[in-house]
Amino acid sequence: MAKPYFPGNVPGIKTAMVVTPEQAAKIIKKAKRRIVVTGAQLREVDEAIKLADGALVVAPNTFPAFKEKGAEPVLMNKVNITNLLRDASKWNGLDGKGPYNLAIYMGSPYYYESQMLSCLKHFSTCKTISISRFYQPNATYSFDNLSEKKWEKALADLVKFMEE
Amino acid sequence: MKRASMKAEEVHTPSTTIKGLEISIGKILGEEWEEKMGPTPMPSPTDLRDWDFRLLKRYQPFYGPFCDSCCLCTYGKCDLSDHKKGACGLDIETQQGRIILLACLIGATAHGAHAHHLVDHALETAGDMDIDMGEGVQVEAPVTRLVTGIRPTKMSDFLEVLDYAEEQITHLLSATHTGQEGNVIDFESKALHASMIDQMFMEVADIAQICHYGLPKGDPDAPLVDIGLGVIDRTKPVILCFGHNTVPSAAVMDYMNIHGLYNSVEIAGLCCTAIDMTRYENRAKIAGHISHQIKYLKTGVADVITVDEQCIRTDTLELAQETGTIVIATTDKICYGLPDRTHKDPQETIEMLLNGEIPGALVLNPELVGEIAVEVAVRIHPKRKMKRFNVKKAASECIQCGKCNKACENFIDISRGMKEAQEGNYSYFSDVFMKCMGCGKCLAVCPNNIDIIRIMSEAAKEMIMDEKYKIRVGRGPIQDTEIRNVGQPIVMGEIPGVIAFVGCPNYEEGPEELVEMAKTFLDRRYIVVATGCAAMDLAMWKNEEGKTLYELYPGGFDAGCLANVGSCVSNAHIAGAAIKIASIFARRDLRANYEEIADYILNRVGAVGIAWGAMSQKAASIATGVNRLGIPVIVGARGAKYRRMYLGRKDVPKDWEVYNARDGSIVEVGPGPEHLIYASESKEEAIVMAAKLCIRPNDTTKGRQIKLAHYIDLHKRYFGVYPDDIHLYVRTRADVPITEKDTVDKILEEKGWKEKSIPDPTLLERLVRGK
Repeated sequence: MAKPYFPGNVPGIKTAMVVTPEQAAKIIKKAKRRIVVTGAQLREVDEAIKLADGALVVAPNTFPAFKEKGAEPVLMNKVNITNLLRDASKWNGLDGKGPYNLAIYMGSPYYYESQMLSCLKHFSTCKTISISRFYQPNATYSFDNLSEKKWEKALADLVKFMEE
Repeated sequence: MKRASMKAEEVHTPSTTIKGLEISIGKILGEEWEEKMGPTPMPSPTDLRDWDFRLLKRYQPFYGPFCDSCCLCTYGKCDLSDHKKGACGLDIETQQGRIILLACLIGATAHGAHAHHLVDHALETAGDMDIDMGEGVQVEAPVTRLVTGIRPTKMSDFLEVLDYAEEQITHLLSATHTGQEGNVIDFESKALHASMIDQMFMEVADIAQICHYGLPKGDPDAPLVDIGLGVIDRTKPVILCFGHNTVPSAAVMDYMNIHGLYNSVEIAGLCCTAIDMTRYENRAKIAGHISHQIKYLKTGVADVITVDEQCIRTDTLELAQETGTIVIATTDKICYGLPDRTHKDPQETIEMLLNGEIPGALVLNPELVGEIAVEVAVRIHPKRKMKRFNVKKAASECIQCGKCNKACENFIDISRGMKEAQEGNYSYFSDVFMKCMGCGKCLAVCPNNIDIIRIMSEAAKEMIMDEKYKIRVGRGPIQDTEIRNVGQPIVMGEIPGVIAFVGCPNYEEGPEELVEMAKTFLDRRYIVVATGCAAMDLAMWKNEEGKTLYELYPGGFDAGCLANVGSCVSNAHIAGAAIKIASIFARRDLRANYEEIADYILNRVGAVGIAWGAMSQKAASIATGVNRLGIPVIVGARGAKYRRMYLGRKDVPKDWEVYNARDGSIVEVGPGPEHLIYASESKEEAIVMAAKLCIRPNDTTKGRQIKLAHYIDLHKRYFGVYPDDIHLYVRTRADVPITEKDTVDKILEEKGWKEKSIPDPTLLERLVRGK
């Protein structure tokens, strides 16, 4: 059983299922409507762009890096997008076409991401998958704790499986 | 006359003789205060509930629970995941409200007990003195006046205030018992009530110490004092005072003064006690904030440590014993199992401490603390021999298991530091030293019990020697005259906002981010105020000429000024300044008129708190207390761990409707301020958000232009694009900053913007003047 990266960050009863890149790709592909939500510490801009299927929300300070790559993400603070997703059944998404049923989270300080994911775990119909480097027990699905190298490979594999 | 008292040395009656007779009769005649009593004197937990519900309808609680279960009674543990209810009927959301209320109560009671102690001490030692806050401060206790309807003129008036406040706390705490409150918004309303009481506790505490100790009374030119890890002269006996309650440390300084020891003994403080010590005696020094406690303990810098209360490491005695530092506990909050030597011969206590019979003592009489602390420090200093600490050898015990890295929330690569230290290279540890927040979790997990903090501190020794800065002494309240000068430009929006840096140092990147944020707003001529550990960290930077922010910016309450207001309890003066703008500048009735004043502040006063490293329950109640007054607060990423924010929804126009007090019409005014409490992920986000949160519905067009100009400019600077919500803040074309006209006009067109009227905004229907 996976342990939170910070051992004290044990939420209790309901914890994320650990997934491999291949499993993560299947879950993401299966989602009816997905959204990628990235944080202020994100460096993996290319991967975020590749994983998004139109719906990409990025932390404002990282926006210039996305622009450089020619992407047109929505710039929004993570608290604000999480607050909208909390209301997932009523919020019709960035394009007004209906609620998202899967949110892919990455790129925030560990403890901050944990609280955002906890909000959605308890108060939203939207499932979450964390593809950051460390296991996030408050997500629905999460990568395990990984070394820098293994995580880079996991992200690359995830993108590869998504393209297959 | 409010009270009568009579003293007689000797009274003879036919049957007996009474010596030392003293009769005191409480208030026997009516009020001297002309202002009529407002609608809510000494409000109960439900009297301001309507206001809270209005606020919380717009700013709904957002919860990120820490824990899926509840373990507060023997029915539990109860599983609250997947919308299950616990045995008592509470669900996870309501449980969060309950926990938040508890946190706010813990914070409030810490200040409350502190305030009560200060008032009692002042009454016991100096009698019932006048409340005199100086010539420039006629509205001496704005929070107290607002909440209770009492205008304190004597120290003893605070006893009635505290009675009321403590009764409220009891009611509120009882609501957290199993089988009491069952509605989440009512829990939040109670948290707001507890935190309002906390604001009053803080105000009472600071006024009591200002009057009793003669601390600065709103002095914008308060002196500069030394701050930093390098300010302590370790060749002298060193006394360090940890905590928040200045009574014992003031006694230590008195003793040093009486015996002419200031040149031969070093006295410095950590945390808010440090700030208050320098308000009392500017020869005292500030050694730093809470993060550095463990570093001082581990390196044995102090010969004697006094601990008073709040935010002190609970293992202080244990750590002090490692280096032979003597600990003197001075309040009933922290006793550490030490022998109570309050009523014993101090000379005997001194001998027992010096010969190692006891590692410390509980001394509840401040005067004795002064004598014992100083005498022990002076006599033990020449005898204390710190064992030589071999950094390389200590580091060689490291087996690179990496557990310390996983314990460090600041992601310091301790394993790397250890590896390099094993090779005699200490540069990494020296570089990250200030980033270490001193939690000591790395020590707790190390399988080889390596003294990581000591290693890091020794590695940073040379760097520490240069850590010398200047901070302006805490000035206390904002003067009424300053409020008169800035009231109009703040309310009209011409001064773009008041930014208050408050709270603890629990952040990843050390002081630099805080300094950058403050400097940004100072250079844009916002009013910047600071308290507590944040005020200290703002001093920890120098420009190329070696000047700190406190040397570069004046200490007034005016545009482009940086005012260090004081310690944690001085936070009440920030709320007080906002209240005084409504009262002094706008001439709104202040007395027991909470709703109207809060409504005024929410709609008119562009003040924002930034608690970048908020850590404690006190910080939770301080933030929630100003939230009830309509002042938004931004916390840093760690603040998300408070597990609750109050968030507005700018995409729901109906949430931003107000009454136009002129005619009672309902007008949509846009999302200002957008949130009440908000956890920001990055400093860039916080800076831009703070500029935006200063926007208020009542801004004049000129004021709105100025505020939007800053918001747009900062957004472009940090994010490279225009904000996507400008159209929500433009009411008429006259609101658009001239320099941005072309682009903003285009954005308005794209968004289908329509002109709106500018009302006299209020959330309170009763304030509508005519239909």
